[in-house]
Amino acid sequence: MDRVPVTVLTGYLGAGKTTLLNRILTEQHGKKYAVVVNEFGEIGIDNDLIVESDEEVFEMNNGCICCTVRGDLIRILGSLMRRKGKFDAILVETTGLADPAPVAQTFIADDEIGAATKLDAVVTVVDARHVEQRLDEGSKEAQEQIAFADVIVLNKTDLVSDADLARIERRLRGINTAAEIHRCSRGAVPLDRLLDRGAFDLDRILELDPRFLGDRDSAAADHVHDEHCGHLHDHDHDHDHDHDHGHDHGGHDHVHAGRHDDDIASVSLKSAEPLDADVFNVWIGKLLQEKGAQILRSKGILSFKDQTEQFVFQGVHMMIEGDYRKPWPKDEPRISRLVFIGRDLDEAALAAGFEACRAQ
Amino acid sequence: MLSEEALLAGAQTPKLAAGRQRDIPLGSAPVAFALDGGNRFLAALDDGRLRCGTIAAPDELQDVASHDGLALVVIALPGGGFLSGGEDGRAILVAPDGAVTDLVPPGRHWIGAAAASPDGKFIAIAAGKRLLLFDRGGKALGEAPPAPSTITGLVFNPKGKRIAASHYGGVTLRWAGGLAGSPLVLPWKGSHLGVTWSPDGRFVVSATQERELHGWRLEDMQDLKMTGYGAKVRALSWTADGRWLACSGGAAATLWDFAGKGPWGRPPHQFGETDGTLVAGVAAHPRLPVIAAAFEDGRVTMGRSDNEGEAPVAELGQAPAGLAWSADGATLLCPTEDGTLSLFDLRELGTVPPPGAAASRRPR
Repeated sequence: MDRVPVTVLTGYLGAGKTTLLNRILTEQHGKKYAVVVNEFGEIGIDNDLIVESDEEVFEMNNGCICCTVRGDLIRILGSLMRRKGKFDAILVETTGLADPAPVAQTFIADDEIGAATKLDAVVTVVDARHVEQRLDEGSKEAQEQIAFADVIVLNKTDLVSDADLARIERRLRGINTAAEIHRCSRGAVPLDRLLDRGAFDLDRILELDPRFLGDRDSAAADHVHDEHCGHLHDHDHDHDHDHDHGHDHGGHDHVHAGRHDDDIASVSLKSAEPLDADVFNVWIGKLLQEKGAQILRSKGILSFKDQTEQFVFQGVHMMIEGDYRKPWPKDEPRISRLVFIGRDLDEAALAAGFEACRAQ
Repeated sequence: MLSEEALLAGAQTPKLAAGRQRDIPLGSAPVAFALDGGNRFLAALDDGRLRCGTIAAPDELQDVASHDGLALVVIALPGGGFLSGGEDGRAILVAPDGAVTDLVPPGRHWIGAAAASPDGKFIAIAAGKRLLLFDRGGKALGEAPPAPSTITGLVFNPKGKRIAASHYGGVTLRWAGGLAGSPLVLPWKGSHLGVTWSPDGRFVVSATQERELHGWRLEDMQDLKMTGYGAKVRALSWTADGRWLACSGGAAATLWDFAGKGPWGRPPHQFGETDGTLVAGVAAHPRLPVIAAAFEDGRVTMGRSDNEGEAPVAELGQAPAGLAWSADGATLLCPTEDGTLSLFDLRELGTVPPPGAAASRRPR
């Protein structure tokens, strides 16, 4: 059975979530949605199947301190899935104060939800006119919603100047270097940029974005990132190829985008030299055990020594999943790339840790 | 009818004779199902309808009421009749004659849990965090202070004087006669999804998000942890003698022994395992030491609580949506997700194969 895609819409109160939601519902002709809202707001929602949620955030009792889930969402999705064939996809709107992590982790931590549905993408609607003020005030929620996004809808751009817009976009990139950013007003983004992103699908990291993360030259271009969730240390290391390519590319390189006035930022790391899979595993495992609460999301494409295939991984807090995917192209350099989006990240320590993963 | 001799005859279970299975179309997929002491059943369907019928004439179905959305909980009432709670926030009382009363009018919060006291005196309903108490006639008796989070399960103790409510962080026990009084909280980390009370009154057992059962022995508040499930435990059933708790969620029907001190150090009895397909429903026979189990692939089988054997009932080929014995133990009912209700006439007894023999049957 195909898993039903779920799109999560987050954003501050007044950013334009409900307007965007209604656009999706009215313009996606022939597609039926189930909509989960946090509360019936002033703007009506034009849909047959609407369920109101309570945003009950629960800790899982599994020893993972940052493994929080939305208990209400488990119940609601469970009940929705009993209406077979009544809808094609699910939209979940969160409150302006919601932390997106428990929403995303619900799809990872609950096997039954994970078997019946798949998180397609976290879409964050940002009000161009007010976002700087929110961030300047140190709003934890505003930062987290931007940091968690796969797609950022930078809305109400008609109300700010181009110079403001460029500055705002740089700041959003500083927090989240990996998200696609779409400028618009009144939520007028082509829906194919919001829906069916497969943002948590490991395969689509490779398929959609050859340049991938943290490439400063393409900072203005839209990035697309794809992930899939699993559990900690869910790596598959059964491969045992015996190729030995000599890589003479320069050492490591890291880029920290944007300014430092937000607590949450992205750290991008690159390496042209192959990595030692065992050393990397130990490092990433320990890192996420210790700093998993700080690291909201992580993703990477890695070149391991003696492997012909690209190793792709992505994570939400402590939960990561990774696997070997398609072979490295023969005519391209194998650049390992890694990004962490998190709070108060020690960039130098991350860079040093990554550097130590180089195969000897 | 089953005789006392048969009951004592050791390794025997009810037997399905040829031609003793009836399949009734329900009209749509069932989402909840219950059977009362008067051999009446109520099936809540995925179109919101509540349909009633009887074992004697199962194909004469009567639409008694309808939820706006799905029913989330359906229970049989000890004096006959049913209670249904739904996503529309409505709790509907269905009398044995099919007459309908709104116990709770439609509202914002889902009615996700309900219980009746064994003596039939009280009905408890959970609407979100609210716990509401009614008498058997549907008169409101009171409301408890709100639970810390949404109530996911309710059960009365065997004497019908206390109510246990499961929620995030544990189970809360309150007195029916003093709802507002200070409760006894049974704490345990994580989300608790349902609760049952042992027939001897000594144990409260909850099913958790982490696919475990958690128990509390009330006399000394000892914690008990029962693990090994492939899915969340949704069905719990106590055997007629009160000794065994049968559970769904595993690759075998699992029976924990609550005699004496409880299940500590005693591996559970298990039956019915084949290829790893999980148990979706369990129902203990009302008098014999026999448990029926329905697997996700539609296989229905029975096992004895003493592990002295098991007997296949049917291969329905559809995921079950419930499982229940008639009060006289003569009929087993299993609604399936394709919208069929299968009724098995099991009043005859048969000898069953020795333990383990069934596992070699039909490798797949």
